[in-house]
Amino acid sequence: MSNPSPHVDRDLDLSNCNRGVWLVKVPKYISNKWDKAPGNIEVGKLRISKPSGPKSRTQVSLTLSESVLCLKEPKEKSIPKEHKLDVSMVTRQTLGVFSHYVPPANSDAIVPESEKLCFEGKIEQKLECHPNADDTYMQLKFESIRKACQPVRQVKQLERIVQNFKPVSDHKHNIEYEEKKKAEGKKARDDKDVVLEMIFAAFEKHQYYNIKDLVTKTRQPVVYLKEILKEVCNYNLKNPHKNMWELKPEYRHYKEPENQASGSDAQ
Amino acid sequence: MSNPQPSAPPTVQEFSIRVPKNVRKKYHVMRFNSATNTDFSKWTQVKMERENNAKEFSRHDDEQPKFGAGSEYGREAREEARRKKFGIITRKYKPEDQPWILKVNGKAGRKFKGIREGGVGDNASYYVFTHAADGGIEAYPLCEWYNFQAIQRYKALSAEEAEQEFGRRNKVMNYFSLMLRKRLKNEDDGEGEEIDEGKPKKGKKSSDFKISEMDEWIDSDDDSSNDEGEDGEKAEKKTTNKKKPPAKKAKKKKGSDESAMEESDDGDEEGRELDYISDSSESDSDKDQKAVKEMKGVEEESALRKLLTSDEDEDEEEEKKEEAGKEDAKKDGKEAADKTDAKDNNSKEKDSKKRKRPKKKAVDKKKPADGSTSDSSSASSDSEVEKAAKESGNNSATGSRAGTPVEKPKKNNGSPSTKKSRMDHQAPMLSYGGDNGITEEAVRRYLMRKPMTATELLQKFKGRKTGLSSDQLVNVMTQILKKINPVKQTIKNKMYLSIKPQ
Repeated sequence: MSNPSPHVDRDLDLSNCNRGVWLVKVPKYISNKWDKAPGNIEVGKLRISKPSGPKSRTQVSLTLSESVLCLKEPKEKSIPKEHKLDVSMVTRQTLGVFSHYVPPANSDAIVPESEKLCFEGKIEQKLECHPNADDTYMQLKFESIRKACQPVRQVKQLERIVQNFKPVSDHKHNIEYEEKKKAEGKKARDDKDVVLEMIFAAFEKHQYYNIKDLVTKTRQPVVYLKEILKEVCNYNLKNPHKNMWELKPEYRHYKEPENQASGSDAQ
Repeated sequence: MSNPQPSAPPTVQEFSIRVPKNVRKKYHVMRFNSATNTDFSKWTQVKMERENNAKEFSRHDDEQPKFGAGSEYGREAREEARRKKFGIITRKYKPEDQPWILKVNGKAGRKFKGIREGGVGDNASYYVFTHAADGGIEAYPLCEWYNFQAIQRYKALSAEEAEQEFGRRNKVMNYFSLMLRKRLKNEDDGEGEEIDEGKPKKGKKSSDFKISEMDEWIDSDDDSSNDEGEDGEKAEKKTTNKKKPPAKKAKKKKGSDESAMEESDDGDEEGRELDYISDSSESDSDKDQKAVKEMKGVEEESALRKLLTSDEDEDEEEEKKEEAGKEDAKKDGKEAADKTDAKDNNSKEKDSKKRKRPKKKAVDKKKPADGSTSDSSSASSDSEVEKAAKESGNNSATGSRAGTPVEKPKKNNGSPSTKKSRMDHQAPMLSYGGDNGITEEAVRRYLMRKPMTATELLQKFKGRKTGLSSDQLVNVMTQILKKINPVKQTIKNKMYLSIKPQ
C-alpha cells in the first residue's frame, strides 16, 4: 500500500547467492523474548562443540543470555536457559531466503526509496531447538497446560436480574442529525438562473442524477427543483439509469464521447 | 559457519547471537521442489514481482464511466450499499498478498510462481542465522514461506483438443501413402488436362463442376425428354398426356433442366460475348438505363449456367446439335421471342415454361429478332446467332464453340439491336483459361455477391484449374479489375471491391 506500484519487476539482489545460512526452528517462548529484546544486545550464545571421537557428532547448543531471561512480565514463568539444537540436512527441496525491504510510507526523503529485494542465502542446514527437560521447562509446560485447560466460557451464578440495555428516548445520531438540519435551515427557493447554473454544473460531472442527490447538491425544495428539471432534463423511467434525470439532448455537451462518436462516424 | 574449523580435539566454538531490529526488512523463505533443480549460485538476472490480480479482483462493471457522459452520480456508493444489504462485504485488493512471480535468467529463463503457505509458523518460530561481520551470528525472524512452482510456458490442451490430438496419433504413419496418393492424383490431372487441350475450350470443366454423378444422368435423361417435348410441340400439343410428365420433371429438377436447356445456347452465349465486342463501339444512350437493369439478370443466368453445366452434357449436346441443330435453333428463337413478349430478364422458370409454348409464335418473332432494331432480349441474339450460323450452312457446329468464329463476323455485320446496346458501356469481356478460368463475368459475379478483397478474389480463382501460374493470374486479375472498375471501400484497413447490383 505504501508503494504506488507494487506490480513492478524488481531485480533480486543476488550478491549473497552463494552464502549458506541456517534455518533454526525455535519454540514460541524464545521468539517472544527475542522479539522484545533490543537489537544491539546479545540474546544468546551458540556453542558448537566437536568431540574428538571419530564417531561422535557435532553438538550444537543454545544458551539464552541473562538479559533475555529477565525480560518478562511480572507473572510470567521463567523459561529454560539451555537448549539443544538438532542438526539435519535439507532434503527433497531447495530452500532459499530472501528479504523484502519496504520503505517507510511517509518518508521525507527527496528521492523516495524503492522496495528492495535481496537474496539472503541458501539454507544449508536445519536446526531444531529442543529445551533440556529440566525443572523450569516442566514448570512452563505445566503452566501452559493449565491455561489451555481453562474453558473460555464459564458458568456464573447471578444474584440479580441483569438489564443489559436501557431504553433511549432519542438516539445520539438522531439528535445530531436534527441539529444539523436546524443549522442548515429551510431550503429556500433560489433564483431560477442560479439553480440552473448549479444543475448544469452538476451535470457536467455526471450524466445521470437521482433527484435526492440533486436536492442535496442544489439545496432547493423538491417541488421547485422538479419544476426546473422538467424544463431542461429528461426523466428516465427505464433501466439502465432508472429513476434518474439526465439533461435533454439539446443541453448536453459531453466532450469525450462526442469526439468518439464523430471519430467512429468518420470511419 | 556450517563447517567449524577443525582444530584441537574437543573444539568448542562460541558465537553470540543478536537479533537486529529492522521493522521494514522482512525475511521470507522461498521453497523449491528439488525436481526443479534450482541452483541459486547459477542465478543471474533474477526479477521478482507480485502477480497482478487487480483485474480479476475488481471485475464488476468497470466498463462504466466514472464521470462525464454515461456516468451516474454516486453510483459506486449506492452499489456498495446495495451489496452490503445482501451481506457482501468487499475487501480491498492487497497487492502484498499476491503471489510472487520470479523470473530467472532473463526472458528466456524459467518462471516461477511463489504462493504463500500458511500454518508453517503456527506452533514454532523460524529464524535464519547468518554470519555477522564481527564473527557473531545475526538471527532474523522468517515471516512467510513461499512455495515456488514453475510456471508452464506452453499452453495445455483442452479436453477436446487433447481428444483431437489423440485421434491423430496414428495419422503420422500415413504420410507416405498420403504423398503417394497426392502424386498419383497430380498425374491424373495432368492427363486430364492433356485431353482437355484437345477438346474445345470448355472441356476442362468436366472435373470441376460436377454437382453430383446424378446430374449427368439426369441431364441426359432430360435432354431426351425435352426432345420428346419438342416433338410433342411440333405435333401441336396433341399428346398432352405424354408431354406433361417431362414438363413436371423439368420443374422438379430445375437445376439439371436448366443446364440441359441452357446447354443448347451455351455456344450462343459465347457468341453473345463476342457480340459485345462489336457493340462496344456503338452507343445507344437512351436505352442505357434499361440495359443496366437487365444486365444483372443476364449475368446471373450465365453464372448459374456455368455452375451447372458439365462437360458430359456438352458433349452430348454437341452430338445432339449435330443431329438436331435446327430444332435447337428454333427453340432458342422461340425463347427469345417469349422474352421479348415478357420483357423479363431471364428467370429460369419462365424459360422452362416457355418451352412448352406453341412454336408458331417463335417462328414469327424470330425474324424481327434476327438482324433488326427491335427491342429483343439478349436471348434473341442467341437465336440470331444460331440462325445466322444455320444460314451460313454451318449448322453442324453452330451450338458448339467451334461455331463461334463463324458467327462472329455475322454478328458484327448485324445491325445494332438495342439489346446489344445495353452492353455498350461495357468493354469486351476478358476471359482467360477457358470458362473455368478467369472471366470478367465471373469476377463481376463474385463482386456482385459480396464485397471482397483482391486476395480473396484471387483465391477464388486459384482453386480452379485455369492453367495459369499465379503471376499470370494476378496480371489477368488486375486487367479485369481495371476494366470493371469496381467500387472500392476500405474496411479495417483492407480494400474491399464490390459492384453495386444494378
